[in-house]
Amino acid sequence: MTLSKNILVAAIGLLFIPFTACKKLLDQAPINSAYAEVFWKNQQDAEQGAAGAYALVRKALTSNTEYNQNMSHFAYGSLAAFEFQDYDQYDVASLVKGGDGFNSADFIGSYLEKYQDWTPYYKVITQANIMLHFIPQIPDGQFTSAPAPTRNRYLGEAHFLRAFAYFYMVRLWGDVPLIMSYDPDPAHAQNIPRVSEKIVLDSVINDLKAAVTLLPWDLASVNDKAVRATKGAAYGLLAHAYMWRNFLNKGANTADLTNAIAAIDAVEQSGKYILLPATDYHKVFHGKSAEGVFEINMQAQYSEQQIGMGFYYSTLKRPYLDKESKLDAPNQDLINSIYEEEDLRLKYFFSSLDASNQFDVTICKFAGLNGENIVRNQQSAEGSVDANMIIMRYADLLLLRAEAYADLGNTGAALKDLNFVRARSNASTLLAEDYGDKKVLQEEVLLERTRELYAEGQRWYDLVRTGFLTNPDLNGFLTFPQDRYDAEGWKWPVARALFTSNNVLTQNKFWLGKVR
Amino acid sequence: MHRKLLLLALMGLLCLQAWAQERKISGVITDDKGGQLPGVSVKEVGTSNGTITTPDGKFTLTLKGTSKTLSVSFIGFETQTVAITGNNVYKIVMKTDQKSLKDVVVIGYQEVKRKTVTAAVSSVKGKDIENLPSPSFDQLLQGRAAGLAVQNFTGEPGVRGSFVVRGNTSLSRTSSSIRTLSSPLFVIDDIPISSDDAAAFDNTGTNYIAGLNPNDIESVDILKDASAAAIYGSRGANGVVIVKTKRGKTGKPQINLSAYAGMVEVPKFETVIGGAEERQFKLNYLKQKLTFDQQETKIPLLLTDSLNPAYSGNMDWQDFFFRNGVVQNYDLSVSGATENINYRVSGNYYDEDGTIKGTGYKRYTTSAALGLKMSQRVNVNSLFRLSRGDRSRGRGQFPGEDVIPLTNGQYLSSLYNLSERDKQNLVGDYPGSRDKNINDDITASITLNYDITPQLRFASTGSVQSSVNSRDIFRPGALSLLGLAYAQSSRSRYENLNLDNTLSYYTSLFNKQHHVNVLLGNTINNVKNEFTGIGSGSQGNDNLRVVQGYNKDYLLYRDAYGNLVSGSDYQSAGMLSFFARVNYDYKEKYLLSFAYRADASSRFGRDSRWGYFPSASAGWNISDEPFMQPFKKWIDLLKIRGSFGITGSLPNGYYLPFNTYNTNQGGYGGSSGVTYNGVNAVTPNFRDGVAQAGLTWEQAKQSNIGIDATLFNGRLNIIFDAFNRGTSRKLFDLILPATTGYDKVNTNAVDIRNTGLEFNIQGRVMSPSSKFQWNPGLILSFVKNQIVSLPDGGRDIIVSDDNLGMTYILSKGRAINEFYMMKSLGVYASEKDIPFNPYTGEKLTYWNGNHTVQAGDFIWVDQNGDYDVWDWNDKVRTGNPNPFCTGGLSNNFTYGRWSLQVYSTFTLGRDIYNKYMSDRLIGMVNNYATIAAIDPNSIDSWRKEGDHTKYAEVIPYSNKYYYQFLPFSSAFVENGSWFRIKYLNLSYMMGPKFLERTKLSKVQFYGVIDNVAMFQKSSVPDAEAVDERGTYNGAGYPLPRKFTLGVNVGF
Repeated sequence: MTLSKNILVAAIGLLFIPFTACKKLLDQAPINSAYAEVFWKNQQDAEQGAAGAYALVRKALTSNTEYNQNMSHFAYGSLAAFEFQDYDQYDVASLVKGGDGFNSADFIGSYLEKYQDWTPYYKVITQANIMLHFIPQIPDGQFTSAPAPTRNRYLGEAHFLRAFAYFYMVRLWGDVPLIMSYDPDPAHAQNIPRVSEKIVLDSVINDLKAAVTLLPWDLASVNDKAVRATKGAAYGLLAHAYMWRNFLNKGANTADLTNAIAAIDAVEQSGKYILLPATDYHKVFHGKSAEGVFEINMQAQYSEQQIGMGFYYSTLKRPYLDKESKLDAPNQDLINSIYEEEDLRLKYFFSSLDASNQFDVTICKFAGLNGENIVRNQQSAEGSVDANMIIMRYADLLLLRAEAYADLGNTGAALKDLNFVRARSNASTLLAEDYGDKKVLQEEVLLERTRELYAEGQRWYDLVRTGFLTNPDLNGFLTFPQDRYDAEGWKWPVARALFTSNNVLTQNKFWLGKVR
Repeated sequence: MHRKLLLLALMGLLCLQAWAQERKISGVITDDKGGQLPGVSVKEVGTSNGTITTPDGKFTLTLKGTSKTLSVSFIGFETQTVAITGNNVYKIVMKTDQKSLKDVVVIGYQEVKRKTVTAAVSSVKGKDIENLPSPSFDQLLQGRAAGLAVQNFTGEPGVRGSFVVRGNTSLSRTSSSIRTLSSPLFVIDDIPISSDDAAAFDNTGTNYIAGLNPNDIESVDILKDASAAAIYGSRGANGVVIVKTKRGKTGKPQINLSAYAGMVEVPKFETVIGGAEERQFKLNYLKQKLTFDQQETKIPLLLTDSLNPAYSGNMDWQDFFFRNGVVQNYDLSVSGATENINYRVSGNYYDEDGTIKGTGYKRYTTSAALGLKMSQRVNVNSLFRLSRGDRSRGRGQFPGEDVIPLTNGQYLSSLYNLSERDKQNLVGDYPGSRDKNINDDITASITLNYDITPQLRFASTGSVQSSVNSRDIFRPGALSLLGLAYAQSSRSRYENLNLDNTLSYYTSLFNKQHHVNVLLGNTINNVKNEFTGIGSGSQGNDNLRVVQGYNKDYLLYRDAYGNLVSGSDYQSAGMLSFFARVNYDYKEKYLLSFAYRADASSRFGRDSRWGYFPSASAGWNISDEPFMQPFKKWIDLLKIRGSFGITGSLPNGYYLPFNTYNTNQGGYGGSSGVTYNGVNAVTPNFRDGVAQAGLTWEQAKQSNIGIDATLFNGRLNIIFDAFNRGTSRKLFDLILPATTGYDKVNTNAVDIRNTGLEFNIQGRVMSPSSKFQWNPGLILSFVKNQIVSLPDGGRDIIVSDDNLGMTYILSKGRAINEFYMMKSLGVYASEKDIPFNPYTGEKLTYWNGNHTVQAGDFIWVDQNGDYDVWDWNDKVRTGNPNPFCTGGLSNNFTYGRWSLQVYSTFTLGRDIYNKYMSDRLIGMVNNYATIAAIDPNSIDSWRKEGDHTKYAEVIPYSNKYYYQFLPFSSAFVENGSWFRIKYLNLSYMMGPKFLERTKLSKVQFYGVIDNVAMFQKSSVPDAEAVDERGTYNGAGYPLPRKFTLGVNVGF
């Protein structure tokens, strides 16, 4: 009987286990991942979250078609901008050669839908909004460097990246939904309609102004040079944003031009940037150089280079990469018509220009004329390009300032910037007497930007902004119809997939009824 | 093994009988109507002394023992014990066995009599699935339980088929084969196991149930309706399968040895033309079909360069990959019980060769069950089971690779002359390569029963199940183009801890006419999944077959499917439950039952973690009513029962309330980097979605009406059920607006309804006294599956399977995963049949005008009338892959000691997609020279003007190819119904004389043919070997035929 009693006691004890063990049993938190409640607690979290935001930008700019052309930045900025005359890949070829009734820039070509989708940019914005919400809550004691400037730097980066994402979208789609705050409950998020591109752009400019005050000129780590935002990057993007607002306002408000000039003046006056000699062009494209203002890190140093299916990979072959063919045919007519023979950029940017097969003409600026930026290692037997994606560099900003001066009719200042950039490449000095006509000067600025920034994902926006998109003489004799330009057909259509999850969206007017 | 047994048996024959001076008794045995029964076994209890009755029902027996009792048994009658008195002559009347009335049914934590049960429960006895050549019991239940649909769609030994109770409720926006179908909760010896949990860290791909030896099973009860399943609350929504294993039974120690062995036969092959004949055949055909220019450029060297030794093979690919194998099984068990102790110890070895070389499954199990009666009030039962499953997967496969390394199951040309190395590699014989794939399961449980009073019992069961799945791969460098060796070693462990405490009280009131049975209990359950693994390629040394000294650049973090290879992982989830059940009956005539369960799971947020699951049911044994007295002669039992209740199902995710963050997010298109500028990039888990604090249980409301009837003295048994199960709050991914940054949110968003009818009809055709017996049985289940509501205002959802290229649709009011494609109405026989656009005068085009339709093209229906087919608006629903009717038909014949079982199973009313054929036609268009040569004339495709055919014209290397053979059209949708004679089982029981001489208690010989014959409508090789979503793609593993011979010996 005592046995039975003992068992009874034990049994009653067992019955109580649930109550004592309840908490442990039912409150089980994951240890296989971080989660919101435990993240954003110290400087390391802020640093890694910021790196996450940059990584999201990089993903957005290398996003994919349905045929693995991970090169959205170049597809948007260069393929449709007449810098190529052919591209041997069905999906993105329609940007170069047209189709579906378009003679170029067929944005609705089959398998291009992923490029009509703005989702990747909203991931950047969400991350930036989360940073702006949580980083102020990190206690000072949790910073390993001086709390105030460190915190400001991360906040400045968040403002910069949010501005960058909106600016990128505004140039592609125009009006977009504007989300400017952290949403603690995205599961119940409302459908947000698109707002005017001007409002979005105003928000971009405000963010950049905040970034300018929060960010430092120099980063603590030299290793972060140009691949993390600085005051210089914020000023540079601010200048681009002003120029775009000037375009949207159709030049109605010259303050945008003077503001753009002022922003670039600030960059110049900081003394932090120089133009590298032409012989060092490969160093500019390798990245983190004294010319770089803002770049996306794609260096082999941390195995972050793009090994396959990216723009650099697809546009190179032997002797740069150990493969037999490449996909692009650069626009020989444009190249032949814009460069002077002694212009060193011809030499450092292109090889096999005289090839009979258009697909043999190679843009070698990223790889380096002599393959300086090619790495071969065990991951990539064919080799890969060890070069950052250059978003803004000093030459770009100087030429942008030239554009602003030209728009203002200040020929002397415009030519000063043009000639400063041209001098590096041994191009002839442009003389004021040749540019009495404002239009001619503006054309020259556009062409100079083309010469300097060929295939860097900038020309499309230059053409749209200046309106020279429709001028065949500036585009290797290829045309973009004026009526399409006037109907804002330079904007991309909004992807069909976006409408299924947001019922208040509207399509861009040119594409109404055209998107399948 | 067989030979030894036979020898043993022969030796037994030689034994001399011992002589003794004993008394002789005699008698006559009749049935209750006075008919004399021949062949009845009369045994003296406690000895092997016995006899059988003569044709006029008489017997004589010389008594030898001291027990003074006789045991009288005969099939179809209740076994009787007769006391031996002073009389020497006995008249024994045998009672018809109304077995079904006495059967007990397990309904979760308790057993009740079949007569008083008010729930819908299907039961299968262990005996019915004994000694059939299959590694796991789930496959054997096919067609044996009403309401259960089993499709053994793979013949790969040790791999899981589909197992669905009362219709599928699982649906998803993305395709994932593991969770395509809903699966029930298994409760094996009181341990609840969710297959989704067990499969979450599945490392070996082996069916986790295969570790349980089917021959150890005593009974399987499938709780189908809410009344039965509500006691398992949050996990009962998709049914509960309760498995009880065998325990020792009172009597002297019994030693049972059972063994069978036999052959596994390769399925029938297709006719292909090989060697020089192939070359000639293909060249002739191509010359006929190709233009002159094409002949110059398109015919590959493989066909033209007959002198090249690399292209002069005569390879039979099917023969190369397939083989006949051996299946064998040995069981040994020792069991017994005395007043205070019962025990059963068993051991098992099962070994089945797969019909694809290098594959197979071996299982080793031992189990020990021990019951101790410690005092009048206390007893303790314990169970300990160890099992190892060793499933070889052939070639050292990279994670995610197929067993046969061919694309879409399409064989290659016989002309390829493979090197010895390639051959060895392809079939997994390459010396030095290694692929060990082991499951080790440990199950232990201990139960304490304490009878506080004779009516009140406290029981506590603690159990643990631990499964370790190990995978070790090594592929030598020579097998890789880059010379990289690959090694992987990974372990996953699934641990399931369970503690049940119950108090049960039983009483009868008022002259024992009211019976009340109360159960109270609680359960604590915790499941844990752990993974550790590392996999790496290297320029290493082939003698180093483990992951050691590898270059970190080759470290594989995740495989191509995103599964972790290198790293460790850990997940754990707990559940706390309380439950109660009251069963009440009056004279076993009016029955009532209530059950209630409350569950709290750590998988939900604090405010939504408790779920409550009530159920009620009632039954009325009409046959016990006085007014039924006139029918008493032929109605033994007639019961109507009904139930309603709520059950739930747990989500697969363990940490749903947490907004998790992903680390190492630096990767981007075309890069293998994980950082941004060297810094670990951390972002919210945008891809898998945002957490939802208020997420809660999926809920199934189910009503059931059933009739149980036993008629004609137990000769006809009918169980009928009709059910309506509405599953609501199904977890489903809602696509979030892009502006949130998150791709989706997993939320309670979808409702599904399954309605159905189930019939279980068992008969005994011959009178119990007949020497010949025929017992037919029919099991039929009908299920209609319907999506009741979808998110986003009920908008259709398209699900694409990127691997197969198939598209499915989820739409309101329709079944889950219907095919979504162009409707094809055959082939345009001639040019004049092709419609043209009356506005433009242009002919119908396909694919955005890229192809102008010609004679010989498929007739695709232009749904939107824009004279172009194959855009978003031309796709329609073209087939439903959910089986409408499944079941089994059994016929057991016995004649004396012979018995024959013919068992068939079937699936009716299912559409399947014949991707095997569409892939073949693509192969013939694109790679005619390099794929296996099949006579194109054997395929019903268009050839000339006026042909009315099934498939469009097939021209090798044609530029007319307009993707017509991709899985885009209903041309390849077929009727997937099938009927299979699954088992033929012939057995012979040795007679008492033999047993007496050999001193054995039982000797039975049997032979089984598994997969006897198949009858099907569709043209796929095997209409059952079709995947969960109804697609047959040829890359699966064919179902083999097995022949076995076996013996059962009781000592």
